[in-house]
Amino acid sequence: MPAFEELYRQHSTRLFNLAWRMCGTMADAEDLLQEIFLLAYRKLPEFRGDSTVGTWLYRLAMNRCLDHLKSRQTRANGATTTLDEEAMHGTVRVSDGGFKRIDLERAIARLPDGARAAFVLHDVEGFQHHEIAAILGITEGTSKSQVHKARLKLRGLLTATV
Amino acid sequence: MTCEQISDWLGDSVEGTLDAQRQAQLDGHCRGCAACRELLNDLMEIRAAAATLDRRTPSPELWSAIAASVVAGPPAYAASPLWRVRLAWPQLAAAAALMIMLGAGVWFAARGQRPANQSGSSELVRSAASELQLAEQHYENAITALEQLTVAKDNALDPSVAAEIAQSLQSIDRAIDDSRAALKSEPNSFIAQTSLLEALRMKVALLQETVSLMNATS
Repeated sequence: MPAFEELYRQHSTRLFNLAWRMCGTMADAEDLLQEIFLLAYRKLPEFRGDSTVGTWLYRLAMNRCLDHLKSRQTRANGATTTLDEEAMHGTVRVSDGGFKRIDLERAIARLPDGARAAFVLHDVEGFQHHEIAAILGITEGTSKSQVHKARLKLRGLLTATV
Repeated sequence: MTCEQISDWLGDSVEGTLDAQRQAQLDGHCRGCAACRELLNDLMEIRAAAATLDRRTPSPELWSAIAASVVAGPPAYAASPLWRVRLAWPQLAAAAALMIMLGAGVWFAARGQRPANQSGSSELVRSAASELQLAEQHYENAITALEQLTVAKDNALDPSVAAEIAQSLQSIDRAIDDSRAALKSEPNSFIAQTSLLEALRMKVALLQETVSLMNATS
């Protein structure tokens, strides 16, 4: 059991930030983090060692986050609407550093789920494309493409006049 | 080179993984194309900003809740008494203050300094057992004192509220009994220890809240 606690100590903060950026609220992120670790505890005997335990854990976490988002969309939750309704701070030029971090956070929240997942894993959390491929079950090329598309979309959102 | 041709290389260039020859071609294009230069700068700026976004940390209580749920059994976690009580009685800060007053804070501080990877040594196991006993005694003392207060003000609460509290206390008592049973079979189980202390802590918090309610209504 100490090994499981060590797994929590090593990964909980990164997973928490991942869940927070994928799902939008701290409360959801805490609930998801609990679910993820309880699921991990239950599924640990099934772990076959064909990836690192970290990759396995992040794959499990991302699947849980994406399931959560799907069920939230099904319930027509207003989270996206809320973000859309929140005005950003006028027209900015990205390269002038004219956007605020809160604008970037809001823009990230407006990305499509797949692009957001790849972008957060790569640009925010620092995973490599081959790791993202293993976590999301996509090819390395798709990961690169998703991250690039996400950056382009973010640029559009950050420079848009609202 | 056209803007369309170099657009496929922008992603790799932003990440610094574009080969030298293509990077030189891209740089040459950007020197003469303000739109592509600005686009590349923007994408690099976004990547740099993303890497420095705020990082949040989960609540320190979260591990205890997870550990307690693991002991209780995963399928039951969503409806577990501990979880319900945690949601129903969020005044845990007040309970924590009470714990510190009673001295249990000393136990947590001492325990926090213990290296996790040394839990297997017999000396540390003995130490942990005595720490657990000490903390358990502190909680029990607090529970006894609070229970005496609630008995003294027995009729102060609305019957429906009193019934709800009684039900929550029964759930916590079951969790305490389960944790003690788990500890009996696995005395060194960190999860069982955590679960027992968490259940005791919640009982103190609930009793303290009950006393506060009784004081407010009497």
